[in-house]
Amino acid sequence: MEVVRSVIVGASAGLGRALAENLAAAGHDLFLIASDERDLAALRADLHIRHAGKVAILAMDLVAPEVPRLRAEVLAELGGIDNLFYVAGTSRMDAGALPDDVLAELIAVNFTSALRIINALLDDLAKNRGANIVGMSSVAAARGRRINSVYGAAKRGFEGYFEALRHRLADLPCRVQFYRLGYLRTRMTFGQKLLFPPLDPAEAARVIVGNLGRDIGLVYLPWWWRPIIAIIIRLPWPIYKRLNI
Amino acid sequence: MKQRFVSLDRHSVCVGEYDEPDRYREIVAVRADTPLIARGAGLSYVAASFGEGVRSIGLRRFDRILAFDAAERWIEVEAGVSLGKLYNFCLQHGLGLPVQPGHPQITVGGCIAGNVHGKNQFREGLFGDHVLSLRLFHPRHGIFDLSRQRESSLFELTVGGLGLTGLIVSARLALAPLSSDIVEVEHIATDSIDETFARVATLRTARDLVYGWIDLAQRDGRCRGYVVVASTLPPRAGAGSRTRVVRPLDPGRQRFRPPLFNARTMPLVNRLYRSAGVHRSTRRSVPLFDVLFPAVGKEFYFDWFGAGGFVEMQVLVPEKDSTGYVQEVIKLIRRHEQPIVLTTVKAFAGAARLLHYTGSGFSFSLDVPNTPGSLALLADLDDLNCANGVKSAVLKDSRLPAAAIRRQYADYEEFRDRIRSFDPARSFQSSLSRRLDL
Repeated sequence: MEVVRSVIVGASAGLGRALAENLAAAGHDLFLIASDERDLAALRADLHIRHAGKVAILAMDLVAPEVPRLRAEVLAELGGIDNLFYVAGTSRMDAGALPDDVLAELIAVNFTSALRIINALLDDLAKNRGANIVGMSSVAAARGRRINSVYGAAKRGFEGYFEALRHRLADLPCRVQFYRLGYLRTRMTFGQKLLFPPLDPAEAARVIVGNLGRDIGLVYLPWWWRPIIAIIIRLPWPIYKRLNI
Repeated sequence: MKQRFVSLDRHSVCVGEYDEPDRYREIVAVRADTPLIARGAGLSYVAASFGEGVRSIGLRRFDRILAFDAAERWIEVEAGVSLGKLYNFCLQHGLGLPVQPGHPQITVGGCIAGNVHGKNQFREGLFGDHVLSLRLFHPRHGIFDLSRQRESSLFELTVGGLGLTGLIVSARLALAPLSSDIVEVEHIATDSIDETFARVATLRTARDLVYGWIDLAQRDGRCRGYVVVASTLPPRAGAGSRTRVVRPLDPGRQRFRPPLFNARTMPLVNRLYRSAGVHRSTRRSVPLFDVLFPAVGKEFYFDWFGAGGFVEMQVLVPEKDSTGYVQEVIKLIRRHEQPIVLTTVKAFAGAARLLHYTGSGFSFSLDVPNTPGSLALLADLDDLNCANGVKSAVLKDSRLPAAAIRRQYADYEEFRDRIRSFDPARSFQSSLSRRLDL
């Protein structure tokens, strides 16, 4: 049986790390990308020692990724690519105006860098039978909110790209999957008072890996966010504008 | 964020700051603008990982295996790795940690900071004896790579240093061969305290696990008990560890805790417990996991002391004075008429050093409900201990006063001075270190 080759962008912590652990246990060869080599090296060591598959890493600034280098290293290390997971994300509450560099980082990591990396690997994935392109958005993108407008807008743009990508690849064997994630028990939600219980990243990873190969489009994770978001996006403006969410 | 912290015995409670980094850049960005202390699983009996006005740094996310050499028998891990994860990994390679405390959630960092003991300290020594090297981060001093050869003084101060020298980030640990994951266990009935001590002394060199259980709840003064011994068996076809679901142990969780361990119930509870133990006196095969981690499946024990929790006094009694000392303990227990819920005896060996709980003799533990009457008994026992050269385990007893430790540990002042010399600003503190005036 051929080894499945998976690339995870944003692999050092949270959901990205949980996906890496799940895929390594399933026997995938991995190429892990994140901004800090220390975290990647520790994760590579752990996965390599506990599982049989190959684990390669690349530390890269996801605000300004060197996309040609990234593709070249992926192909050199794995010899091809079957799954691409774009998990990287950064969030910042922005009730007021943000410093320009922070705003640029939010847009880059959550939107433009994602598009650039997917675009660079798209031809390697598109005609590959059994390939998957998997992106992570957030329930925060469902309707604009006053407290994280830039993050929400960037993720909404990312969703729009995935919708178009799914349409473009509809007649090809590569699947395009997109998740609107609710609260996850990660650094992003640490210390926050949340309206609903957070999902453990390991459980989220189990669901995402279980869905590989399926033509599912947009999926809420956990599923019960779908009816909640359905209500939120239908709230009349006079009511919505009064909500402190 | 603010968090309510509770020690395992639920004697110590306080609200403090809690942070849980998951990337190395967040660790090295930690600043000592408020007192800090590392926190692993949070299962110490005492308030070793939190304190009023202290920022606890949770290291559970740092739980990866960094390097492993089966031939040389060592493993390098991040400090937040749990004993359960290590057990499962090492077992596949026929190896195991030589020293392990009783719950799989406990982290390696906590074991090093507490320099804990395991199932047969007499043979295995302390956890720190098997630490080959470690990496330490201190916000004012940076990162140190420590071992017995490199910065040995700081290494010695960190192993068993109660987390007061900084954040232990990772460690390299020696492993021991493990012939199988099945253990032969035997319960040997005893009719007196003297017999229990004598049996433990006789069997301590021959078995992997040896401890005595004594019933101090009966009014007839007989103090019967039993001794549990266990040895790893050779591999057998078809034999294998039973998979156990580990229910997270969380002393801070709010729930009803019935006060079932009290003066009225304990005579009956202990009679039934001993009968059950002695009834199993024939040798039987048990999964190693169950022997290494006896608290799994018995979490109710910590709850049945009631909402107030309990206090454990664990003391190291010199072997030559043990019989006379225990008779004095029994006299005090009779005088105070307090329920003694659990009493155990283990054999110890080793040279006393700093605040390490080690030395030659018997480790004698008493668990009592956290009530004014029991605390008065323990205060009298402190005096008895100081007068008899008996020393208390600082990581077990939540109410142990600094005055007692000063008298019991010859190296107390040296430990205190060296901590202050390394870190004059006292960047790392906990409720425990403050109570002990460290």
